[in-house]
Amino acid sequence: MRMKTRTFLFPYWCQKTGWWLAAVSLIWWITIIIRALLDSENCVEMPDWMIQPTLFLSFILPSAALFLVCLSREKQEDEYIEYIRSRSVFVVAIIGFITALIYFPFTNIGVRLLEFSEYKTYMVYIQIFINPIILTLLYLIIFKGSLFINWIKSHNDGQ
Amino acid sequence: MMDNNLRVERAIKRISQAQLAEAIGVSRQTIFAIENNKFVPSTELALKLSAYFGKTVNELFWLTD
Repeated sequence: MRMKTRTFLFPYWCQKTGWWLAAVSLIWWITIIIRALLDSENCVEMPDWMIQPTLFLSFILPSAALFLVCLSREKQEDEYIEYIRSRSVFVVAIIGFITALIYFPFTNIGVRLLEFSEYKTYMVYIQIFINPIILTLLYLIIFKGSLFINWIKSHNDGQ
Repeated sequence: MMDNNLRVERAIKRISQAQLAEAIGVSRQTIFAIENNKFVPSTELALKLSAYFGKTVNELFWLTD
């Protein structure tokens, strides 16, 4: 189980950019949470013109970071890294298939039960975007986790 | 299943995993994974390793039951 991933992955600097974007989005989210907490204490509501860009940035930034990190080469992308990458993709594909079988019927029923059409639209957006994001995140955890475990083991093995 | 004596050959040459990895052009983790039979290298990598140690591929890698 091995695929030639080196040819279609972004260069390593994209991964670095992705991590920087992840840091920025983390700061962004912390700012939003603090702001929301302060506003709720002072009973201040966010102006309407700010809601859309805030929501957009809150999801686009971390998603872009995630996809850049996942779809970029490692510093030394050799065949063993390719093997770990392929294995992680395979595990995530299986999980994705199983969750799609279970998740979509249930969420469709849930969306149908919602009374207001506005919420329905939001739920459909969430349904479309959240599953690939969760699966990509899962891939990142499995892939980087495997690399980290292997790094620890090889480090302990020493010479 | 496959086994190898990469660790022994490396010990004879008195080189570390990192040195071998650098010479072959792979990461140290790859050498570790091959030595511990967690990863079967490609023909290309096996040939590079055999050329580096001056052995045939069959002397470095063999099939087990």
